[in-house]
Amino acid sequence: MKRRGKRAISLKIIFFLFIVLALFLLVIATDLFCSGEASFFRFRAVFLLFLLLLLSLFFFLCIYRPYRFYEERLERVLRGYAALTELCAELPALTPMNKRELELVSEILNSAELSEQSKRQAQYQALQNQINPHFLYNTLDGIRSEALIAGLDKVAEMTEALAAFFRYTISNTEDLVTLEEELENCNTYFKIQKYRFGDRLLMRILMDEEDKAFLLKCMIPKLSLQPILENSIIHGTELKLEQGCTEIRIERTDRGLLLTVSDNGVGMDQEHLRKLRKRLGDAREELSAGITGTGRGGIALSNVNQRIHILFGEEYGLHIFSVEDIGTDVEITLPLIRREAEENSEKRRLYSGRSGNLEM
Amino acid sequence: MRCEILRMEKVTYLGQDNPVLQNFDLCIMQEEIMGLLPINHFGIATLLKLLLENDPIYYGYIYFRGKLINSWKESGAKKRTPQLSLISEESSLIEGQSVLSNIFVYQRGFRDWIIRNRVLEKRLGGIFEDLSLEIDPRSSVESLGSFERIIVEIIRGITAGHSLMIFNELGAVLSEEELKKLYQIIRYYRERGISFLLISPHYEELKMICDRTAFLKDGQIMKIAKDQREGEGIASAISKNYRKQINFYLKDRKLWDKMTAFCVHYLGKTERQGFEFTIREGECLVLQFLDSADYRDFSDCLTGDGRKREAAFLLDGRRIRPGRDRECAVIWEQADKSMLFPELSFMENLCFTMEFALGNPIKRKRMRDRIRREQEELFGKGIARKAAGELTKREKYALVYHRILLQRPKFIFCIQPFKNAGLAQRERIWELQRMLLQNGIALIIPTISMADSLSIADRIIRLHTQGEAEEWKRISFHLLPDTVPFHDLYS
Repeated sequence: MKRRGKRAISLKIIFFLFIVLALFLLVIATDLFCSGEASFFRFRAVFLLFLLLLLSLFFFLCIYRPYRFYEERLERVLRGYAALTELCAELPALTPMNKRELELVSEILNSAELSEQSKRQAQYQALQNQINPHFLYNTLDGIRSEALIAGLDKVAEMTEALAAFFRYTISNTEDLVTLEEELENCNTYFKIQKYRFGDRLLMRILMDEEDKAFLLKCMIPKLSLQPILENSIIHGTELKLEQGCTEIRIERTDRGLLLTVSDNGVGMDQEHLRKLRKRLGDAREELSAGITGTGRGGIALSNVNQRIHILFGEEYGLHIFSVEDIGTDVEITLPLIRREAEENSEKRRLYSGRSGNLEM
Repeated sequence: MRCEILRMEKVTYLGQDNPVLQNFDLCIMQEEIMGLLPINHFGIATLLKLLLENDPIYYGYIYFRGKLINSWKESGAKKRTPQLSLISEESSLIEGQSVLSNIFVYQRGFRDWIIRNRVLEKRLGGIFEDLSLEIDPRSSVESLGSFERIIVEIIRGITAGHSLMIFNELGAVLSEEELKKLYQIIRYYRERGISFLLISPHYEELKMICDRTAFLKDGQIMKIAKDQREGEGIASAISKNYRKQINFYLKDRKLWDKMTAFCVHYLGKTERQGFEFTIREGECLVLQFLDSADYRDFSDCLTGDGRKREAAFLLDGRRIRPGRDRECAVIWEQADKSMLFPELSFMENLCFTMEFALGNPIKRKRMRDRIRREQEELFGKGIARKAAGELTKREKYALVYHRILLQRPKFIFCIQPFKNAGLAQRERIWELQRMLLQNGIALIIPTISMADSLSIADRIIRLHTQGEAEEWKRISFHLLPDTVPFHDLYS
């Protein structure tokens, strides 16, 4: 990454010192070689004052302010509020060497992320090949048929649900899916859990009936709801003695899509909540989770949050609210993307790709 | 589709290098009435300041009406301030000016060269008519009661085009009836696209009107209750220990008829305002004023501002001066701030009303040492020498109440004790009040809002606008409106 148009602060300081020195020499020279006329000295004083003002302005704008900016940004990175990758491009360099160093760090971070991504993709591909999805689906279908023949309807239903769940999780490799598809997968997952917990679990999907058709066609990141639903069941309602209820609320605002997964489970104490929020908001944690693929609990939430950040930017993502013994809410904010818009952009991409080939 | 009015996303705001608001998320939609319940008051003042002044934030984003108005990435420069009104206990109207001028003339957008009062009056008359209110547009703002002042502030905000109104703890200023009227006005403007944020430490107040309620603790939103059932669940979960203590107390509470009774007579400003009541040793009586003007006159009489008026107190027929006579003490609102000398030490603050007992120089040292030892046993070594300003809130409250205890009054006027106090403080105040009652001191709580008073009250006198007094004994507390906090403990 090239850092164009940004001179290192040290160069500006050298320039500033050079001007000050030149000014000093000018004053000495005028004192030595010029006759002592009062009007000349008055003119010189006004001129020097003007230069001094200009220099102060230069010092403030070109040295002090970039330096403060550098410090403030770096402080936020060190405290974990901002990601280093993002800020490396924005930070003003202190010296030319520092400039090269920042470029290098940027490159390393990006390449590390890229290589990790490609590694993960390769692993995923390998896993997919090993599993051979069709073999898995066929086997599950086989089990389902046997169960039906044997009159074990429940086993058949369970197997069918499991096959549908795997098909969605493994086969579909797109980044974005429709809300309808994601909700369908949530329903499948819930169906599987229902066999385990029976009537102890309840799930409700709430959305405005008038908006329903529109909302269901909205595009969201694949597997952004199901892991949160899973979390809410495993860490919330499952641990509760009474009946637990999970609600998925879908709303449309002028800014985007608002998805809320709420449960009335055991919730969490304030300390736990604070840590979890810190982990979600901490850019360093996010980065390390992205590179190493590990974390201390709450991986699903971090993962979803990270994917949303990568896809749509920092201003979208997850928020968590929780009170012990009352329940937990996970709020997901997303931009409003409709299926048609996505298809149009895909068409545009294909068309531009084709035209590119023709040119070759 | 709903429109967002305010969205605060992962906002972190530092005060003296420490986060006051951390990962703060709040979203208010158009036409929404949002409640905000501060469990402790940490961060609430900063939040209000941030919303009003839009100071640079350390991290996060703030959107107002869908536009980004503050972001950590441009924290160096001040941004556009959001168009919102903050209405609180203190008036923000320009004194010495009429209602009309405050609403129309002193507005940022007012650009008329000639002020046409008749046109403006007509316009304002229309607004008042819609709201079924009778306020003289030419009257000076100083002559307005609390309720009228708040209405004028709302109308001023609406005419200025503000789309969000923030009400900060108005329950302590407005009576029950006035609150009901205010809620009607809020609903009226909600239908016209205005959003509201109501801040109150009592969920009972918020549940009457709010669509959702956010619970704030230590500068973070813990949870947002989407409905009343969930809100009640959260409210009782956060006050679980407090409620348990109150329950134990109420079960064991007994009052003996043999206790000495005092007869207190309040000679109001007018004959209508005056009333008389008896109170026994160790009894807690709540005087709930259903008219905020009557309450103001009553508290003026207690503070001494009513000296010029005829209002006075008689104890068993003889004139007394509350707060000045030893037998009748007064604990002011927000006692931790109003009743201590921060530069004096704990001991000096504790003993300065004990001249009656410490007057004898021989007894003085011995007694002071004894008091010091007692206090150090209670609050830890070294507390006696600490300056009052260095004490924690909890210790400050304890200091005030222990000072009153040492003064040994017959009864105490405890003015709105729970006002502006977080849950932990309210719990502490309740414990200290219980201590006074156990020591045989009678407690009179004059208040507008019941707040937590039901947790300690033995009797309530509700004073109506028409001068009627209605007495409620504990046995009939369950018949009180269910919007009174802790009502459920009696049902």
